[in-house]
Order: sequence, then C-alpha cells, then structure tokens
Amino acid sequence: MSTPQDFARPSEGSEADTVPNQNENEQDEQPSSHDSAVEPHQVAEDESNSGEEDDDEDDEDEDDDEEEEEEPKLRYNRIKSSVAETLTKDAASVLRVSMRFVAMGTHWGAVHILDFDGNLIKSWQNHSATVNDISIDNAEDYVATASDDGKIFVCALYTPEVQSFNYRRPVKSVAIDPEYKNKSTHQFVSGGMAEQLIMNEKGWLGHKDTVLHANEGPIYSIKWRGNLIAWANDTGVKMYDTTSNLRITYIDRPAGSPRGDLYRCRMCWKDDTTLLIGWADMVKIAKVRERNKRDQVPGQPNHYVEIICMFRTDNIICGIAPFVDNIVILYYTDEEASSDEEEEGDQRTRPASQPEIHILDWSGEEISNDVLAVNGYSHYQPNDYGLEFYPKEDMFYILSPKDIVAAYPRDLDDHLQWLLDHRKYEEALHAAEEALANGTPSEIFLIKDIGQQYLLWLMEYERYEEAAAACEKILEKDQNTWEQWIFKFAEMGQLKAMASHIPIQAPQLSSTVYEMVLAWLLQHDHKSLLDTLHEWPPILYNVSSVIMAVEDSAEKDKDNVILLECLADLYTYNGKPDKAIEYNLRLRRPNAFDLIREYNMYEAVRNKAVLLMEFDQYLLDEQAKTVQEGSPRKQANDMPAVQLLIENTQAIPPKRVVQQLKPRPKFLHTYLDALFRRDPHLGYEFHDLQVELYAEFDPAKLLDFLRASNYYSLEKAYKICEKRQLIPEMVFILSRMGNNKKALMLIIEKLRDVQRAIDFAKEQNDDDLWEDLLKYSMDKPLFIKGLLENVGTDIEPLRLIKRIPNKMEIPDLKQALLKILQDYHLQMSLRQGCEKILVSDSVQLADRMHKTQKRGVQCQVDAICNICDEPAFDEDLTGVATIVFFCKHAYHQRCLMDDTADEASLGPDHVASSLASKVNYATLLMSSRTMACPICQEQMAKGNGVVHRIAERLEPTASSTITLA
Amino acid sequence: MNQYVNKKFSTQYKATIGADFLTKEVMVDDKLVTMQIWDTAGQERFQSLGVAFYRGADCCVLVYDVNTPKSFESLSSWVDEFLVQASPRNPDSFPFVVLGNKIDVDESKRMVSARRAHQWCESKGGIPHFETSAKEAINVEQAFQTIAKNALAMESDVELYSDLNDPIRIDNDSTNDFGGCAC
Repeated sequence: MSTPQDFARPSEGSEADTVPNQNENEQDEQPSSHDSAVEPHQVAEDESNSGEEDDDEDDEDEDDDEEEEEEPKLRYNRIKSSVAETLTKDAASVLRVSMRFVAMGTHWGAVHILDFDGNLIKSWQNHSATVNDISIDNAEDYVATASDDGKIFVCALYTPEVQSFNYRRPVKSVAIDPEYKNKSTHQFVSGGMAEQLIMNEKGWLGHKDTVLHANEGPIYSIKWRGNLIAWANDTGVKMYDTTSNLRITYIDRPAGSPRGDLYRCRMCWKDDTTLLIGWADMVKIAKVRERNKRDQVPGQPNHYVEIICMFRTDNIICGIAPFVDNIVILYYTDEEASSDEEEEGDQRTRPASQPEIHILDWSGEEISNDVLAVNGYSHYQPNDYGLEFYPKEDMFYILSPKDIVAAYPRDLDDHLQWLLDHRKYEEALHAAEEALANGTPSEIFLIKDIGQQYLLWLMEYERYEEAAAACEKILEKDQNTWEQWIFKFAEMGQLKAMASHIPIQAPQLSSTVYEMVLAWLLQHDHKSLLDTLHEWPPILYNVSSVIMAVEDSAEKDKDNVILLECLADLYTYNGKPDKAIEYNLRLRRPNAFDLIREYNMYEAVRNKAVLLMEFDQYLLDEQAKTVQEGSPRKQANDMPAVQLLIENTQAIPPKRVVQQLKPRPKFLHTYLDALFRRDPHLGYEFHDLQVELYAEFDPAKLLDFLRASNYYSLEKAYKICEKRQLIPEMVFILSRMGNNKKALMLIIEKLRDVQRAIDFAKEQNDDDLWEDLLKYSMDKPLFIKGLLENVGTDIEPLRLIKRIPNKMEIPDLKQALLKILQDYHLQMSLRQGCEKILVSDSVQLADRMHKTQKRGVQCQVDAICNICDEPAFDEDLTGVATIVFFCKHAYHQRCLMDDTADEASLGPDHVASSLASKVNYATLLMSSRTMACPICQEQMAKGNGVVHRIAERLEPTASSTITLA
Repeated sequence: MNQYVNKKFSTQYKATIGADFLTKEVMVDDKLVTMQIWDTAGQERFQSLGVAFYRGADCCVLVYDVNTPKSFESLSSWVDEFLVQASPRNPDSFPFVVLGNKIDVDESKRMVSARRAHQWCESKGGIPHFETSAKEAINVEQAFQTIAKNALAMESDVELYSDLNDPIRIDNDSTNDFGGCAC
C-alpha cells in the first residue's frame, strides 16, 4: 500500500507529518516489538486519524485531492520473519535477488541467503567488514561477495567450496560470470578503491588476475550480463565485450557531477542489450547495438551503444529497475529546507527524508510515486539504500540498513483496498464485479462487503436515493442483509428512498419488514404508501394489520383521500370487496363499479345507494366541468351508479333503494326515473311518489310519465299537479278521469291556448266537447278567431259562425271567415273528388267482373261429375245434360237436380215427353241458374267439407281418421 | 596514510566516504609485519556499524588538526567511543597513538600547542604523541613505526592470553581519522 503523496508534503500540516516520523523513531529503537510490517498506508491512516478534525473543514479540498490522486502502482510489504531479527543486530549493506533466493550482505561482513519472504536459508560470515557487493551466477550455484576488507569470496551454495581472493584494498563491486558454473574459466570481475577493474580467471596454474582497465578512479559498480560487462568509475560507465575482449563504449558523466563515491552508480540490465543507469541525479538508458557488417573493422568493437533516453531527476537515485516498460527509481530525498543551511562539511549529519519510489516512463514523465516509511531513514545516506527487482513477478525489494521492503504490482485486492481507502466505493464495487465476471473474484473483499461500505458511505453523505438504488445490485438475494439495511434506512428515517427498491420476491423478506416499511410510510408519506401498496403483492404483509393501522390514521385524518385509497385497495386485497367498494365509492373511483360487478357485490352495495348516487353526482359535476358546451352529455340516469342499481333490481330491490334515497329526493328521482325508463312496471309502487318527484325536479317529463304509467293514483297526481299548477298534466289527468269538460275548461281558462283546446277537442272527438268549446269561446274573440282558423275541417262552419254573437269584434274576422270557408270548401271539394273516384272505380270493377263472368269455361273431355263420379260427358248418356260451373266443377244435370230438388226424380226419360214437363224443366233450369257449385258452396261454408266428403268417398273406413287429422 | 604507504600527497581535499584501507609491509624488530591501515569515515551515522571496523584492531591512531581546536577537543570522546565499540580485552593498556597533523601550515594559524597535546596524552596514560605533516612527510615514518611497534606489543599480549579458537590477526592496525585530516 502506498502513502499518498500529498501526505508527505510539508505544506500539508507539518504537525501531522511528524507523527509518523516519531512512530518511526520509536520503531527504530525497539524494532523487536514491532512485529508486523509497517506499511506506508498504515502511517497514512495514523495521520488521517490524528487529523480528523481538520478533515471536516477540508472536506472539499480533500475531495479535490482525491480526484487528482492516482492509484499507486505498487503495493509494499515490509519483509519480516527472520531477516528482521538479523537486522536488529546488524545492518544490511547490499541485496541481490536471483530467481530462487535473495542474498543479503551486511556491514558486519555476513552474507545471508533468504527466501522471498525473508526467511533465513543459509548464512555465513567470511568478511570482516562491510559486504559491498554480491554477485550470483545464472545457475545460482555460486555467490561472489566483495567487501571493504579487500577480499572476495566465491562460495558454492551447495558444496563446501569456498575460494578467497585478497585485493588489499576495499573491493566495492564484483560481478561473477553468469556462466560461471558451466565455464571452466570461472571468471569474475571486481573493482574498488584500488581503481582497477580486475578479471580473475582460472588458468592452468591456478587463478590469474588480469587488469582490464585502471586508473580512472575507484570502481563503483560492475554488472555482467551475457558477454557484456558494464562498470562505473569516476569518469563514467564503460562496457567491455568478453567475446572480443574489447571495451565497446564509454558513457561519460557530465562535468560537475557529484562525487562518484558519494552517490554510488546504480546499474541494471533490463535485458541483454539494455542497461539502465542511474547515477546521482541522472538517468540514462543505454542500448547496445551491433554494427552493420560492412562497418565492422577488425580490432574495433562490433557493437556500439546508443543512449536511447536520458533525463535528470530532482532527487538522488538510490536504485533503478525496470518495471514492465517503465522505470522504477528509488529516490533519496534531502530535507530541502535544511540543505541550504547546512555546510557541505556537515553533509553526513543532514537529516534525510523518507525514500520514495517513483515510476517513470522513459522520457522521465512520472507515472506514480510513493513514499516509503523505513526505519531510521533520517540517518541514512543514498548509498545505504538499494533497489533490486525480481523480474519473474515484477517484484521489487527495497533495501535499507534496517529494513527490507518488498514491492509488488498491485493485484485486485490492493486495488480494491485502495479504492475503499479512498472512498471510491462505486469503482471498487465495479472492479469487484468485473473480477467476478472474469471468474477471478477477490477472496478478501466480497462484493457484498464492498457494497455495504459503499452504502454506508452514501448514507453518510445523505445520498439515500443512490444508496437505495444501489441496494438491489449489492444485496442481491440475501434476505438477512436486506433486512438489516432496511432497518438501517428506517433508523435514518429514509425509508421512502428505499421503498421502491425493496425486493418483493427473490428474496422475499419477512413480513415484518414490509409491514414496518408500510407503517413508516403511513407516518411520513401517504403518496408513497399508496404507490407501494400498488406495487407489492399483498401476500408480502399481513393485510389486516396494515388495514388496522391505516384505518387508525384515516380516522384522524378523515379527508385524506390517499389514505382512503389505500384502504380501498387494502380491503380489496383482503378479500373484503364490500369495504373496498365502500371506500372506492367514497373516493369516486370508477373501478368501484368494476369491482362490484366483478365480485358480484350487488348485495354489498344494497345499502350504499346514497353513496352510489353521490358518486354519480360527482361524475356529473366532473362532466359539467370538463365537457364542452354542445358536446353530448350523459344524463343523470345514464350514469353508472344508477345503471348499476336498475340493472340489478333482483339483488338490489328498488324498495330498499327508495328507502335509502328518501332523504335525497333528487337521487331518488334520478333512480326512479331510470328505473321507470328501464321497465315502467318495476317500480309501480312508487309511481305516486314519482309523480311528485317529477313535478318537483323534472316537470317536463311528468306528462310522459303520466301517459305511460298506469299505476299512479289519478286523484293524488291531480292534486300534486294542481298544487304546482301543472296545467297540461292536470288536463291530462282530468281527461283520463273522464272529466273532459273540466279539462277543457282548464285549457281555456288557465292556458288560454286555443290550439291546445282545439287539439284536445279533436283528440277526444266528442261532440259535447266541441259544443262546450264553442260555448265557452263565444265571448273570447281570440278563441273564435282560433276556432275559425282551425276547425274548418272538423266541424261545420255554420255551427260556429251562427253562434258568433252580434256586434262582437273579432280581429281579422274577415280573414278568419275566409279561412274557415276555404277550409270547408276545400273539405267539400276533397270529398266530392273522392266520391267521383269511388264511383268510377266501382263502375270499372263491375265492368271487369262482368267481362270475367262472360268468359268461356274450358271443359275437359274426361271431366267427371262431382256427384256421381261418372264421366260428365259420357257419349253413352246421350240426352244427359252437363252443367259446368265457373269454378270448373262439372256436374250431370240430373245429379245436380237430384241433389238439389225432388224434381230430379223425374229423370231424363221424361224429358221432352210432355209440354208440362218441359215447362217444369225449364223452370227448374231457370231456378238452377241461381244455384252455386255445391263444392264451392260447401267450401265456403265449412272449409274442408269437400275434402271430407272426398275422403269419405275414397276410403269410408278411414274417414274418421282423416277428419281427425 | 597515503604519504606513508605510497609516498604521495594530494592537496585536493576529499572527505572520506565509506571506508578504505591500505596495507604496508614494515620491518619491526627484524620481523616483517603486514600493516593494514584503515581509514574510516561517516560510519558514526549508525553507531552499531562502526564495530565492524574497530573490531580486532591492534592499535588506534587518533589524528587531529593542530589548526582546529575542535578536532583536538573531541579526541577524548573518540577514545571512549573506540573502547566501547571495539571492546578490547584490556582497555586500559590498549595502544593509542595521537597525531597532530598539518604542522606545515603557517605557525600563526596554529591553535593547539604541542604542550597542550602532550599534557592531554600524559593524562590518558602516556599515549605517544607526534606532530606530523602529511604534506611534507614530517614525522610520518616515525609515527607509523611507533604505531607498528605498539601494535605488535599488543599482539604478543594477545598471544599470551588468547585461547586457540580466537582468530589471530597479526597484521592489523587501525587508524582513526576525522575532521579534515588528509593522509
């Protein structure tokens, strides 16, 4: 974890700054008591705790800072375990990291081999003074150490083999051949105060030293990689190629650079051809390149070096290492303020600041920086620090005399921790979710925990809405936590924000929670309560108890429509539609009717007629408000409540309704009116009442009612009408009572309406009435005039005109007379015309009939006499006459005669036998002319008589059956 | 130190950083002795580190600047410091040698008189005292001769009392340099 950079800035509360420093000093004195790694962030926490009072004031500033602040790239961990103990007695001077272990040299001359966690694997002490350098071969079998005591030891790690070389002057650096184990030459290069770069190799006659380079000041650092050896002396960095045995380059130090021994040169091979150099305040990156073949000259190096990047730093570099494509630099920082005051001779006493780890890109642009809190840093000098990197895991070790700090690239957990520390909960949550999605969730930080921290934070800042919204995502399906959080919101009095986010299924919470929320809303926010009730299925909570609570509140606050709505809905949920309907009606909610119909709750509303009617009234009022003039309006009796009542007279007996509506005559009227319109016979018992109501509220309709209904008492109705002077109605009743005369009198006297009187007279079509009318009209010129103008077609004008008293002045008499005469004349001519038409029609028809009767009758040869069933025109029966009627029925004359008269017995034999018989016969024939066809006669008389007879004849036995059928 | 071993002197001022030593073979009482002369600096920064240098020393050479009284005055503390850190077997008889350097500088600038230094050395049990000039190689040879002799005497003492397990350093000598000495 890192120390935020601003934390170390002197400007930001120097007082706070000293706190961790003191801590550090204490730790320095008692390192053994300090058993856990003091990570910079812990120091930071100390500070933030101590400066909490300021925090509130500087909140905004801090927020700004937080925004600017970037997340560090590395995580730091102080190496503890056995090495920490070692360092309480000794002080580390050098550290090298290999692939398998860490080697540490001390000022006492000891060398410790550690694992990556700082556990001691092996240690030995060959040197009597500070170990300046350690070099490990690639096979990690041999460790070369160089010391101030002038000696170099090359130790085999896994065999007792130790070789010692004495160079008589302090050896500052050693580099063992990376292939030391595999090569028989067993080379290593060393250098130090003797100012010589010496290559030692094993030859035929034992070890042999070769001076590769000398006399340019002490050798400060040697790094061997592959075929290249780089070393630093006072003049700069040089490179030697072991294949060609030539120096290939010289990277100089700018004039005026600080003393080489004051700030040791730091070098590091990034790869086989890239060397990072950090020396004092200068960073150079050198790239070894091979010359083109054609440029190669024998005896000259085949490689050259290009400085691919170079920049100056503000602080002294105590270590340099690659980090992916960037550079990690360990900075030694002075107390700037004191550096001006101190004399140069007192450099060693100048207190130092904490070292810093910076990550830079190759142009020197800073990517991140962290301040490290190491024990006793104020006493240290640049050369006391070291930075080593472990390429396999991009891991770093920062060495100070009493501490080894490991730096790791930050993993998810670090990232989350950082975000949490900086209150970037939302991002943390996001990161954690992403990790989960990638299948690599953090094991330390659970999404839920992060989320809850986030929620806490949001609540702290009173961002309840956000918090509530985030709950769904964070709490997911955890019933318990959901409940906890809901309670928390309740404590804060912010359930409103939460209400819409509370899960109703998956997970379903305990009913207590829901009830609590509802209760809270009932107290604080009725509108939300209603919405919530709509949203939540009623199974979630105990409806009855909620009803009770709401009813309590509603009692106190009777006009609270929202509460009533709540109640209405609650009762609906609770399976008490009757109650629900009641509230719905009170609330004038249209769904009341649907409810009633749906639940067949007519019984329930049986006693709520008044409510229903009020609802109608409300709707009407609404309509009146909203509907524009001229557009169609619903009438009172079309409204849903009335319709409901009248449609369900079975369930809601009109009697009850009437009873309830009695106090509200207007409603009663509307109801009865509608009822009557639906079925004039349904409410017959109330028709008397209705007359009165019509008279009161809707006189226009009274007459129609009076006409249509047969159930009202004429007497009473008359009295009502009389009371209200409803003349036309009175007239109607009187006429109905048969008191036409009185009715007419009413018309004449009260209404003075000639036309109506005339109409009435016409309607009654009663001569007496006319008489009365005429009689009563005689002293009223207007009536006379009206009569003259209107009755021309109904009564004889004379009858009227004769009666007109003499000397009476009648306005427009002439016109009126003309009118009546004209009318009468017109009537006359109409009738005459009609007569003419009638006569001509009769003539025409008679003529046609005559013609028709004169038409011949077609007779079939095989026609049969309808009486004897013999062929009518049988040739054998000569002398037998045949009579065919117009209806085409044929008869033998004799049969017909037999049938009709006794004379038939005379028989044809007697025909023409005597004159007398002939005369008789003729007479008979004459008389028979008037005879009709017997069949047709019978048909006319009995309908199916012929059939009867025919049937009898055909099948006498079955006759009865047929007759019956 | 450089004057003595390499017969060279550099006027270029250079504060000692870290530790350095030189070795020189000298004849003492017809014996060839390899003398390792350590020059330490700055190690007082972390007290415990000094031990490594003092450890096993056979003789301690304290050098002061005759022109700088402060460097003379702090001699006592260096003696104490050395005895604490090196913890020799017999601190009372451990050989010290005091050198007053830079006598080549103009006499008028001299701040520590030879008498005062002698008195101090006597008070400490008769520490040998030389006034030297590294620049002009005055008294350097004699001073180191005395150092070698005293150290060897110490060595024989050690030999008498030492048990066999103790590593014996026959060629060790120690020089304590401070405060602007150039040797």
